[in-house]
Amino acid sequence: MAVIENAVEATAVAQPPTDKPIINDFAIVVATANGTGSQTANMALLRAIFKMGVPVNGKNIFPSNIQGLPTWYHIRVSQDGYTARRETNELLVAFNETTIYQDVRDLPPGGLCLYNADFRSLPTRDDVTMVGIPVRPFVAESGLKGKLGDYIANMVYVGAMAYLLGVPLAKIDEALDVHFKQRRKFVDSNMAVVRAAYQWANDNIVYNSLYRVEPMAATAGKMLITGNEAAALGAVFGGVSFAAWYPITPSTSLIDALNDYLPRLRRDPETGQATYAVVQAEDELAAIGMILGAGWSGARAMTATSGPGISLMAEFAGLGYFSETPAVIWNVQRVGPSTGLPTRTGQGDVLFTYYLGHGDTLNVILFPASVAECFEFGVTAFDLADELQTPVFVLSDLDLGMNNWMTEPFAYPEQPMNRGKVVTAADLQRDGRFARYLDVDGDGIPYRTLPGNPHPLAAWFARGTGHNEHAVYSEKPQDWENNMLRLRRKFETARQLVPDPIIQEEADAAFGIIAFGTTQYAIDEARDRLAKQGVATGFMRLRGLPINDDVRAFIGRYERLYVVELNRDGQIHKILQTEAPEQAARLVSLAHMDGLPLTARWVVEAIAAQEAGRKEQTSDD
Amino acid sequence: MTETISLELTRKDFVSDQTVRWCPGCGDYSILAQMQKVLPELGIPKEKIVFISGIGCSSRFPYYMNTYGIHSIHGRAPTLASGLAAANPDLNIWVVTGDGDAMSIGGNHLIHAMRRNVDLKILLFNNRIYGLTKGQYSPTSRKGKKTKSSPMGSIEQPLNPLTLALSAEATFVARAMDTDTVHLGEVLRAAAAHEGTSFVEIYQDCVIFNPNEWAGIDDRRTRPDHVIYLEHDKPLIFGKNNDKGVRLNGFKPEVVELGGEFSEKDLIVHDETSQELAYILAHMEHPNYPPPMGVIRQVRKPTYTEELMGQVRMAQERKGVGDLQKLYHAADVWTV
Repeated sequence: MAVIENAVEATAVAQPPTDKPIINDFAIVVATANGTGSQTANMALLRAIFKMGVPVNGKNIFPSNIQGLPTWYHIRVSQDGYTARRETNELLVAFNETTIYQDVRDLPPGGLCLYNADFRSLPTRDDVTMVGIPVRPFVAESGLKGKLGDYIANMVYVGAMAYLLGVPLAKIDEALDVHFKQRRKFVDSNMAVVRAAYQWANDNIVYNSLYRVEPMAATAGKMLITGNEAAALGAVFGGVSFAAWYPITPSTSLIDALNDYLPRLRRDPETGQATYAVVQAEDELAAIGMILGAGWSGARAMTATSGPGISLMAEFAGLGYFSETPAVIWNVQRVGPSTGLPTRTGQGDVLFTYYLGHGDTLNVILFPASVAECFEFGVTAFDLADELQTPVFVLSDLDLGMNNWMTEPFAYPEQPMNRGKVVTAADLQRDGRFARYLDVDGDGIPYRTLPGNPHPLAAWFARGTGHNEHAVYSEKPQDWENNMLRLRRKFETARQLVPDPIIQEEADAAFGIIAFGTTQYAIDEARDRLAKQGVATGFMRLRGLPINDDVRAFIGRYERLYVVELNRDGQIHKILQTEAPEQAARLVSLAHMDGLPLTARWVVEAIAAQEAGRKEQTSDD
Repeated sequence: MTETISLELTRKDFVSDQTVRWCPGCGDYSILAQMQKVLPELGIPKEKIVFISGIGCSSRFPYYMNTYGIHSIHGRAPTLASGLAAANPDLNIWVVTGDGDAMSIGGNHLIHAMRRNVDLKILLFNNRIYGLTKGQYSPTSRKGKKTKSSPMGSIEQPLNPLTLALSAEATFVARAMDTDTVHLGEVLRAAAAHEGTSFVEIYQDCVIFNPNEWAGIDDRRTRPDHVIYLEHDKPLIFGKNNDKGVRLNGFKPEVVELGGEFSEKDLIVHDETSQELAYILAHMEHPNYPPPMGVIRQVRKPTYTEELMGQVRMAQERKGVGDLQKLYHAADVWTV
């Protein structure tokens, strides 16, 4: 067992005014009200820091949406490139009067608060620095009224923060230029307020901020994009021609992005006609029904949804599995059961999705952990669905899908599309026979024809009822069992086709850590902290289900492994125990779910508690 | 029958401790205010009133009603409400829904609740947009409507909530408008008084994502010239100076000026019991016609619960009241 000191946040917060400045390693929380246009301001700050070459990550912690409710935007600036949520934010932009008391209370000692000086009352704390800037004069100057006044307020804090952090105005201008898609009229009117606020801060704030952003070269060539946009772009590169969906947070922006990219990228060069369709269905049952219909006919069809939509798709998922119809279902996970926390993040749909459908159903799942993987799996999911002739589920989450992440530019897919075992009229002419559900190759995957194939042998009837190898209705016990065993054989084949896990091993590792998806960022940081204390660890990030031999081998190399996930019941832990029963006792579940992205601190403390418990046990013996 | 203590209820009794959260200027505020005003007048004990909703902005309504209630899942409120009504016939059940919740994901449930004539009061807040998911087009959005999910304009024929309700043989079909508060209160009272399914479409303004949907008919000053208020047995007259009316020209309604060629006796006389007239009225849409406000159709038919109880009574008359002991000791109880 490893002895681990309890974790503290990386930054030991300095006490002004004597201490040395803290450069490129702190977190900011911006407290505003929903629907006031603060997204523009927050993205301007985020992008400006990014354009200074400093690694940065932004997370929107927002309420289930009604205008005017409090919303918090977290910006983490990290020279080391850490992107996980931090439990403390040293800087606060307090622009929401209704939450200011709580927000100021949450600041660590030595923190800095920039507040709207028009607020009627203000909490006091003598161990943090409070800096006020009035908003009314700027609104008056602009001559704007009502709602537009809120936009001015946002630009006021952008200007003041730029001054406090040392972000050059030119960088804010560049950031707004991206945001407003080079429409200079908007950029200039916003910049006028930013400049005025910057100047005001320069003239009136008698305080040298300890927290500074200084230029680096760590973001050159990188870009900022949300997971949902990346997924949509991947789907376009993967050949999507049909999408059906029903609006649901947090998957909506994935389809919005498709609607944005497809008209530009999918027109017949000859006729100018669109070569795709995106349909807003009446509910999620209809959405999956539509994509199975399209997938059956050979289209690359997808939907995007979240937990409640997945619930509605259960019966159709069974039909897709049993009739062996390709389709791609993105589940951008939120927090359930039921409506739950619709604007918070989690990994609670793993078990349900893996077995979705009644009877013996097993589904292929992909777990993207980065925007680059959202893009990659946008393509791969279609290939897998075609190769395996089955619905493929991609489990993203709200944190990945809706927030902006730094990434290397995406690479054009190296492999051509894999459409799987489709037989043409010429093939049938040559073979002289065709049986839709016959296991010709021993891998459980049969051959399929597509409607429109004119050969007399080509037509077959897809059904959700019992069938034999010729797709003919059958209730014979032997036919049923043979078919179900073949489907399981096919699932064994899938083990070799899903993306391999990513494994990082150290010599003398004390234990292994297993995770999937966006918990990676907290774990990367936690492992670095553990390494600083002399505790080496191995790490395996799963990228899909079912698991393959690499996963089993990794588990076999460690006496104990911590399985970290964002849910209550340790869902992937349960699946691993089931699929590697001989190693089940080695796997320790560290499951945690509060609706927020995981932090390194939680991971270190959870592991430390386990290791300390182990130490007590062994010394008692 | 338990005795209920008679209490004077007031508006305040129906205001919950939750801070009301819709966007500033949302039409839902005024519907809520009218509801809280009307309920105390009904003489129904508070504990017998239930509000059930699905998902969406409208579905937050029960949060703010100090009554029993269920905030359920998307589109499925009519199913919960139907089960509740069948199991507890003496409850006064309101279903609050929106155009997406009721007519897109919940369309099927809505149709069948109305078809069964379950004793429910269904209020459909129609703002012709998805608000909570931020501005996608809904089943009632007009053709050509540009939204986030229909960037080139909707290509779909919208559903008309009134004709859908009429097709499902709803026994009470009415329309009101959020900004027309006095009239809205009257319609809510009429809906509450009806036995069987009451279906009320309420034109409602989404100030954020569809702010101009009701332009031309939501302004108090010009409204009388653009909508028609229905009264049973009264001719279809409208206009600030009561100088316009609607007559039938063959099968088509036609707006005519009164005082010249046409007089009151040429006009359609409203008959709440006529399914045929109800269809004609329900198809009168702005701007070509003055859309009708008020009770479009109202007929009394046995409710689902009455039919259900009637069957139970008949069975008891034929076979006698059940005796569990006798059943246990009878032979062949378990043949299937």
